[in-house]
Amino acid sequence: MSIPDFEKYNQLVLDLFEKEKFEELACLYLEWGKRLLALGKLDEGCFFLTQGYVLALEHGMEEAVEIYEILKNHERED
Amino acid sequence: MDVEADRDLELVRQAVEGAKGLPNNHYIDQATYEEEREVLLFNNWAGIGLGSDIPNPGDVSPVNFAGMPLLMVRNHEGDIQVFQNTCRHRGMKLVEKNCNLRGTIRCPYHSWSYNLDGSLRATPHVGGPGMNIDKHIVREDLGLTKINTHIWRDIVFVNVSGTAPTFREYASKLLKRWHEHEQPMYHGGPVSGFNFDVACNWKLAVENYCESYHLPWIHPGLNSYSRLEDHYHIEEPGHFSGQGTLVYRQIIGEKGEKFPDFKNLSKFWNTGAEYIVLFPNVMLATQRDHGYAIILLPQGPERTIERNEIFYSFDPETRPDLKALIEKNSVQWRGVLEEDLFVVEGMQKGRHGIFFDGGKFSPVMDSPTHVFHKWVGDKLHASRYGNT
Ligand code: FES
Ligand SMILES: [Fe+2]
Repeated sequence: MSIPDFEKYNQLVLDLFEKEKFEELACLYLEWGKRLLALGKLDEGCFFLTQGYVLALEHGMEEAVEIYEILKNHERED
Repeated sequence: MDVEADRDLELVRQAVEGAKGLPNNHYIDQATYEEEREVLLFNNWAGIGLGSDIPNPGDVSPVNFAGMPLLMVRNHEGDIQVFQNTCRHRGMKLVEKNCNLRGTIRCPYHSWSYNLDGSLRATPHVGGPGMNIDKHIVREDLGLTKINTHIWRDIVFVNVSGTAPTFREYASKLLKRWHEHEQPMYHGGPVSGFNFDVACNWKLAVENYCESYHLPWIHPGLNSYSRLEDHYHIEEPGHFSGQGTLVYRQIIGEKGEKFPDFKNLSKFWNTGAEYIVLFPNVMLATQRDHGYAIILLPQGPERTIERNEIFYSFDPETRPDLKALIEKNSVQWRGVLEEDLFVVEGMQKGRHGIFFDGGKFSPVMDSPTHVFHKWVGDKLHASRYGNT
């Protein structure tokens, strides 16, 4: 993927997974997913939003609502 | 089933005078254990844990019930439901240890996510990366498998097969017998729960619990104030059996303090107390001021975890003055219940003697034990041949 900061984000994701900081990870996925969508990368964007969505659901985070709406608008969620 | 096994069961099912006990294979044989697991444990209402194991909304607790992975869940409304602890996707075990969930139950494998009511909420990437729906994945049909659940005296009962009548019907005779104690009961806290890991078949714990014949020899301390002739049998064929005493004495603390009684009990309970096994696996005590439950969690034909849990008529949080007495009471019961362990383990060892024939019941002293054996025999017979 030729997106600026990819390496930096990738390392952050790995770190947060390792430390089981899943709420921060959900936010990171959300941010990264939105960036990809903004670049017109629909599949990749929805992939990372989905990752964020599942973690947000698990941790009862209000971000789940926002992510759900985006996924639904792209017909990726019912 | 072979002819010999059937003949053995016929002997067990006779009146106590002529009956034999269950033969060795019911204690040491894997295939018989599995048959009993289904017929005795899964087809009836069995205890698997306590509501106080999951005190807060969102608490979940996995239970291995005779090899079956179950999950106790307290939802955000505070209600308890048990599910099979297995993901509907590829069958991953969902929850490994007790925890509190703020949101969904997320499978650790591909992250299918379930609401606390068991419904399937999310199926990430199920239609390809970033595509979370697929027309062949109907979420409504893929919720967690619900297990029939009922809470009584804070004990979580399950009927795994879903074929038993409601719990209130199943236990109606016991509920009626102990109706005066149908009032709030409070677990005594961490000191009031202790487990034993016992090298015996779970049924031996039942059999020992429901008779008083052993008291003078195994509990000489108890016997000093609770003589054999002060005990009576409790027999409700097909449902429960046990023993009662007419000389129950309350435990008294250093400063003369006692536990408060349950409310509005009749005079019988001043000195009466009853110890009953609700078949299959919950051993109960009911007394004027406290009670307990022992939940038997079979781990195989020759190993059982006994969970001992003591309950009071009052919330211990509100009575710090009774903390020492609660501790003393736990120590005392633990001592008494520990005295039974070498017996049940010894009976287990004895059942490897190939000439043991199930044993001979004393019609006078062993009839509550026979009531349990007959229940086992009748259930197995009915499962093999229908109700004849
Ligand atoms: S096994 Fe649970 S999500 Fe795949
Ligand atoms: Fe005993």
